[in-house]
Amino acid sequence: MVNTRLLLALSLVLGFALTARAELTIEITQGVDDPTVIAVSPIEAGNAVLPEDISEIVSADLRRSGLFNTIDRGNMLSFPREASEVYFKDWRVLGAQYLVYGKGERQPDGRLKVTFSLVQVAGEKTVLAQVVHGNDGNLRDIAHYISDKVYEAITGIRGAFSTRIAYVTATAGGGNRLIYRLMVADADGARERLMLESREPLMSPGWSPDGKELVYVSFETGRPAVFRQRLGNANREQLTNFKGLNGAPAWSPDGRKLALVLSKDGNPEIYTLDLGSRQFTRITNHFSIDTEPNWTPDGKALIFTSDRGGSPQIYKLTLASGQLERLTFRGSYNARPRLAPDGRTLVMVHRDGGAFHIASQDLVSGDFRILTNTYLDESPTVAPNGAMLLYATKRGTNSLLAAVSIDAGVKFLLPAREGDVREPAWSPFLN
Amino acid sequence: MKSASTSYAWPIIASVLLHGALVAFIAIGWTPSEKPRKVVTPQYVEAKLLVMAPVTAQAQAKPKAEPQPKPAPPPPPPKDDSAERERQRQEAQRKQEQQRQEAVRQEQARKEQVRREQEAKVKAEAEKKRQEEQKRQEQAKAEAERKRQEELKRQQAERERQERVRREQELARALAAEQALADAAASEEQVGSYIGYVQDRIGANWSRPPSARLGMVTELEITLDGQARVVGVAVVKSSGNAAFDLSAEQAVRRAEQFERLRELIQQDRAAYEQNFRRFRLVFNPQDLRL
Amino acid sequence: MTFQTLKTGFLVAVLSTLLAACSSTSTEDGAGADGMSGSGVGTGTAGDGSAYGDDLGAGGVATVFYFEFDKAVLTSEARAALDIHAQRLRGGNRQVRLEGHADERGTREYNMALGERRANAVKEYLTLQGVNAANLEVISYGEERPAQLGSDDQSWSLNRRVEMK
Repeated sequence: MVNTRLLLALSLVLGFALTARAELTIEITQGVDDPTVIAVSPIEAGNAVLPEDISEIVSADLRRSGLFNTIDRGNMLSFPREASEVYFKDWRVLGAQYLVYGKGERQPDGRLKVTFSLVQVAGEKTVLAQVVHGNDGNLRDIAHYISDKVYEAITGIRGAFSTRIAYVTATAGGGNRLIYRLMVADADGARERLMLESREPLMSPGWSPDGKELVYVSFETGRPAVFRQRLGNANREQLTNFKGLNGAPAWSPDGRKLALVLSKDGNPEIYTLDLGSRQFTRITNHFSIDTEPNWTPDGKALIFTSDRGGSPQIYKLTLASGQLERLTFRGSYNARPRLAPDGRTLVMVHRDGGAFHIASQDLVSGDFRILTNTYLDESPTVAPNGAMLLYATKRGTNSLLAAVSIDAGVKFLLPAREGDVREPAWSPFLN
Repeated sequence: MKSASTSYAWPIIASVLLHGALVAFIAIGWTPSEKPRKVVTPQYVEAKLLVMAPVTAQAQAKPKAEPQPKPAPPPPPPKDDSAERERQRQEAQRKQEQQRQEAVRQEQARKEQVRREQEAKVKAEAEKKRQEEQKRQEQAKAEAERKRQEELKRQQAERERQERVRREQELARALAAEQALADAAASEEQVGSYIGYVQDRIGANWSRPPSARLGMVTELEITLDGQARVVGVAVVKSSGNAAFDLSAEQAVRRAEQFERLRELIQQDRAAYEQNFRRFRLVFNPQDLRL
Repeated sequence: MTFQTLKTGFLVAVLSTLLAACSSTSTEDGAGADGMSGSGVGTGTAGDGSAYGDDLGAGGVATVFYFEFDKAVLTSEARAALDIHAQRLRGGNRQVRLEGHADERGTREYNMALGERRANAVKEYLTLQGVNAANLEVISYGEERPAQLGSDDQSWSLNRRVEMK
């Protein structure tokens, strides 16, 4: 009996020894999600200085995503242009986790061939190496392209640096009147272009799914009306001319329809307009306010704002079945819904006490987050990669554009400019 | 810290059971004079029980049989007389013969007597010898039996001694095992604390890409050199998301060297070699929102 | 890269100010004085007269009416003023624009709807008083044309309004 006990005890020792001998496995279940430290070595063409500083644009893009910290050029110990010039130790010393280096080569036809590589410093491993062609006129595009590729390699998310944003500005135009302008710019706010200028309000810009057209509301006729306008040749067309509201146009994901708001029958209702047949179809029928429609990514349903429950809340209406579902219940004011490309993250304007913030709600888990902490935040628009959203916020009497990562981790303001900047609309992917 | 707690579970269970076993020993009567706390783990001694073969085989062997007594020699042949003389002679001869015969007869009788006497003597001798032999044999047998008994006693004593030794050894071994386990537990605790350290180091360096989602799991095999520097990182199991895998690899690469493991290298090189020279990291985020 | 598309000329829409007739802006100045009361507000309203026949604000009758946040309920002062307007407009064919506005809080398109709801409240009141609905046009500007710039209670209360023109 004693012996069996001994045996047991000994076998336990043996068993222990065996488990200890198996390869140790350690599980990591938590991280910190600090920004990745990346260095972008200057990219130039021989000794010639290019009209745009490509690596600086790339650095700024990556920084603005909130997921990267970049190393100042002034701290760099060398400016490698190719693999043989990379001394990993130098970059380790600087704390760089990744390094982007590259060079431009002028081709006989004057075009520029840019070669760039992304290397992991600690592993001394090349993650990415590519060639891109361009010319002096689209160096910013080359830079954003590099940003997109680097961002995607490290984050696993398609970069959205090569996209654009549309927005409306309002500046004092003499007397008490404002001058309204519809603008389009790169996603970083650069290369701003005027699309339309008016002394009557312009509002609610939105993109066609191919990124080649805008829809918006203009009061230029003395009443609100919905217009579409091509970016390339500035052709524009008035789509509605009804009594009452003509507003909140939203292009369907398949590009064939608009959802919009008309009050021609007495109060604001959601309609769809078939752009081919020019047929309007009434979608909602309620004496309350129904407005701000937006399509689900699959195009099968509309989400919109309605105060049918007594206060503005967000609803979802499935087009085929007519089934209506209320999506928001928190607080007394949730409006202007937009869905992230995953169709799951709802962003909206949420009233919290006296302040209006941008909030997100996970439609699956119900997780609700207030993403902004300024006072009068509005018009959220989600980047086509779902990683960031732009919104308008107030500073003094002016509004300006700000961005926040969809998990609220990062916030930054777009370069401030004179007057009001409002109603940003982020384009779809353009390439 | 789920994994850390499971890594303690084994030694704890083992230790509890061993303690139970030890208590049982003590209850049966071993009261170690003092609990040797710092017993050096003995070399594994295979306590070979040498069962002595019984020596009685030789003692019991049958003594060799005595040689048989020789048969008595045959009587001498009769002699012949001629004529008168022959007759007389024959007579005489006859008489002689008779006498002779008588003599012979007597002689024969005598011889027979002698033979018989000899025979009897031999027989008696043999009998005596036999009896002596028998007595001797009996004595030898008794002696052998005595020896056998002695041997048995000796063997019993030896067995008892061996058993005692064995039990003592087992006790010592159990105590040593207890101690080893205690040491191992201490070592395991130590290893556990280093596991925690490695977890913290990696976690602090792990910046997940925004595409990371709950349920993504990447398994890496890490190789360290003798100074706890990362010299190898290999993806054993991919999460399917290249950026997620890269982030895990980056977390290890960023750690570069696990300085605190060098303490372990100094204190318990074997534990280091066994646990950390090559190990696996499973990246399985639990703190993500999606 | 298809950026040539944007490099070519952009439309700067030269828009004729089709509604020059309604470009009067002096109401804001008049409205600033006594906020929510509604009485006496908008006395400075100056249409060019030709389109509407006569001056809506004549005799100091309010032509701007104010509302609570997210509400379209007429105040008693507003109803009193609208009674006078109804008397004057009844039977006539003076075309009246009812411009609804909201303050900057809340979303722009929702505020467009809210401005319309406020203007409709005025229109319905006038219609109930016998004014021909065909002569009343409702236009909402939402928060796009504030009477007063500023992110404070006073500015907001002045901007939640319906203007008769």
